[in-house]
Amino acid sequence: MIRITSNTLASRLTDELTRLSNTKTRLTQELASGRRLFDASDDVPATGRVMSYESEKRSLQQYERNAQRGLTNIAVSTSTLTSIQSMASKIFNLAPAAAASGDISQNQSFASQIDGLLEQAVSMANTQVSGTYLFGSKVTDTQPFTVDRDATTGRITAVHYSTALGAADAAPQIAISESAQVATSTSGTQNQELEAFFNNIVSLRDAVEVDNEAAITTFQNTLGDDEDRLTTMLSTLAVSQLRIKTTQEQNSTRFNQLADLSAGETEINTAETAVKYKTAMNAYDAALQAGSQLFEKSLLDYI
Amino acid sequence: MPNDLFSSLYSTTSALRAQSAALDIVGRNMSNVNNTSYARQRVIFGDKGSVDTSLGTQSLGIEAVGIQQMRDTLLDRQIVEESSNSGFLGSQQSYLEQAQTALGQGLFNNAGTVDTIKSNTALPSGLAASLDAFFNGWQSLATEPGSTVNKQQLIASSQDLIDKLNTADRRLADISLSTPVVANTLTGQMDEGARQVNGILSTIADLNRQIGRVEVSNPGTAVDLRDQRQAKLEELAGYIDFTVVQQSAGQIGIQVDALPAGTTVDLVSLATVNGTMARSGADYTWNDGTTTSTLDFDSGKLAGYQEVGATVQSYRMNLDTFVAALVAQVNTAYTTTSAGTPNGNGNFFNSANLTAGTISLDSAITSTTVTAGYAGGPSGENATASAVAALAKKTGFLSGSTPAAAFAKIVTQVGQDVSNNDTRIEDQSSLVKLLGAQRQSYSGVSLDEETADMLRYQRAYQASAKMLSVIDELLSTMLNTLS
Repeated sequence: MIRITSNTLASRLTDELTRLSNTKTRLTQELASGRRLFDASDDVPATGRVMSYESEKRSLQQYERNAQRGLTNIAVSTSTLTSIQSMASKIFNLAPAAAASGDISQNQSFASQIDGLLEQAVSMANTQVSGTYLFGSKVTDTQPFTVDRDATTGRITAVHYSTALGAADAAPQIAISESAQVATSTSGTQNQELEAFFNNIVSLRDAVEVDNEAAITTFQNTLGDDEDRLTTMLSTLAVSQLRIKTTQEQNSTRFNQLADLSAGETEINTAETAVKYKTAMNAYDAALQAGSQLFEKSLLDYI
Repeated sequence: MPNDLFSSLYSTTSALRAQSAALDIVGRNMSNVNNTSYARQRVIFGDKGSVDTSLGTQSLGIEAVGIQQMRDTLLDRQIVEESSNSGFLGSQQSYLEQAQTALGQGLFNNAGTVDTIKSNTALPSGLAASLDAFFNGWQSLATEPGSTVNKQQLIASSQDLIDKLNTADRRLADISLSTPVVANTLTGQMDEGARQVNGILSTIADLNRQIGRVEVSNPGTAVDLRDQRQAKLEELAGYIDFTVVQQSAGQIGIQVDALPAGTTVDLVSLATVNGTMARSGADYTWNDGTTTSTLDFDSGKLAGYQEVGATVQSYRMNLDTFVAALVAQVNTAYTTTSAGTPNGNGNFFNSANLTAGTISLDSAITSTTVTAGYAGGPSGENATASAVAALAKKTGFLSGSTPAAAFAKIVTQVGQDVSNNDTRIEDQSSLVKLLGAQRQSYSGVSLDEETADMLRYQRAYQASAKMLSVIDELLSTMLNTLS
């Protein structure tokens, strides 16, 4: 039988009280913060997983920022191209009336309307978002469409796409997920088609002004082809928009899954922790009570 | 002489002296009840001898022939050894925890949804988040290559990452043993440890002198001094591992291992400390006035400091390897095309600063000069920014890992070491408590036992005193009869 000395009792009681006190402190910290992981050493494998989850979540948030920016670009580009397309329709509809009028002064009025629409269309093609030209492809700091003007009338005589094709041809791509990149603007080649479209309007305006019926018909037909090209450009942007939105949903789902996984690793089960805390408190009280009773009496009290 | 009243008087007086000595020991035991290094004592009673009388052989009475100290030398030796192991582990604990803190890696579940953070203007907390913010800064720049705000944000997040790496290295450097060794908090602690050891050795030598003086004529009797020396040996074991060599007159020698392996150094012989211990670089040396030996400790606090210093230095090296990969790969992505040809850009990071303590931006890099493309390229070109941003997901960044995973490995390595050390300390603590309980069980004082003994000796004393009184009465009666 082991011999129990006065110090044995005291040191064992102290050890137990210290252990229970540590448990209580830890559980209090967990309950107060709602977390179970504070340092890597608390749960090393969980730390590795949490760091991975949190890093991926930060990446997803960045992809979301990229996507938001891309959608803004696409929305403005789409709106601009839709307006230009609407102007093209108006001009297309003016052309038959001008060809049939046979009245020079009325045709000059038609030409003036076409000229106004042209000015507006070229201006819209030079739209900027946050200081970036949307239709400059990779040259975003220079106005993409420039015009020559008649020295007397001030009217546009020619429209130029100022960006040289080649390296700047492809539309810049932005990352919207770990594996997906999309262009959020039109390519240099597509933008150059806008140049041809504007110059067709210039030619049509001039033909309407001098009532050249044959030329009006020719340029009207060409304008019809240009409208189709605008539709193609809008379709390209719509595809990018769809891809971004689909990816956004995937990213959001993935983020929520990661948040759940991360919470599962880092956060406490409050009910479970509260029960553990209560158990530790009871054990602590019991140890104190037992200890005080043990030390309350000794043989010395009976002599 | 026996068998008469005077002989009874003589033996009763002797019994009174013996019970009195026993009560004195009980009192000493009781007063040391809370002294954990004290070993309880017991009086050994013996017969004073016997004589042959006409009635047969008769005892001359009882006497206290000695004091027995209840001490188990095997347990004492085990406790000394385990104190050394406890010191080894305990001394590393706080430094490993400091290293963990130095990396500044909080573990939070970033609350919110994927679109909670609309902008990345706020600087993140924690190195891992700063690393992600750095790569995300390149992503933002790739999305809007001409954005001045994004360029400023990229430079800010780059500088934040650099600051955090510099700070982490500085904190680690303060508790590591670099080559060559630079004075820091840890070396200060090592110096203090050596000073403490010198002080304890001096005390042990002095106790040796006192024990030798007492025990030269009465071996094994300097029990209180032995208790004190045992306590000092256990204190010394907290600092170093050593071998105790028994010497003359109850004195001991203290011997430690030295380099080259297989050699030893005598720190204490009899009442003499043979030299002085000091730290020299990452080692401890012993100078006996003529030669200086390098000591080789396996356990104890001093060995723990050496171990943790080397461990923390390895963390620094891991961080440096990570930084070297970051600088090299970011610079490559920033200065070359996807075909691997130079794109005309200068370096992003200063290519000469390849450690966590020195990493810096190239002097030419500012929010004005940084570019998402390449020198002379179109303003909307984002190939370079995209290439740098793509490094975040490059699995071959370092040892088959992405940058985030490579950094997580560093963090979890430190966490694992802290956790392992904590577990070992817990196991060690259980072992030490068990040994302590075993020793207490054998050597400790029980008040109940002592109280019972006190009553026993008190009654025996009272009985002897009563006997003395009776003999006195008898003698008085006899003398009165004669008068």
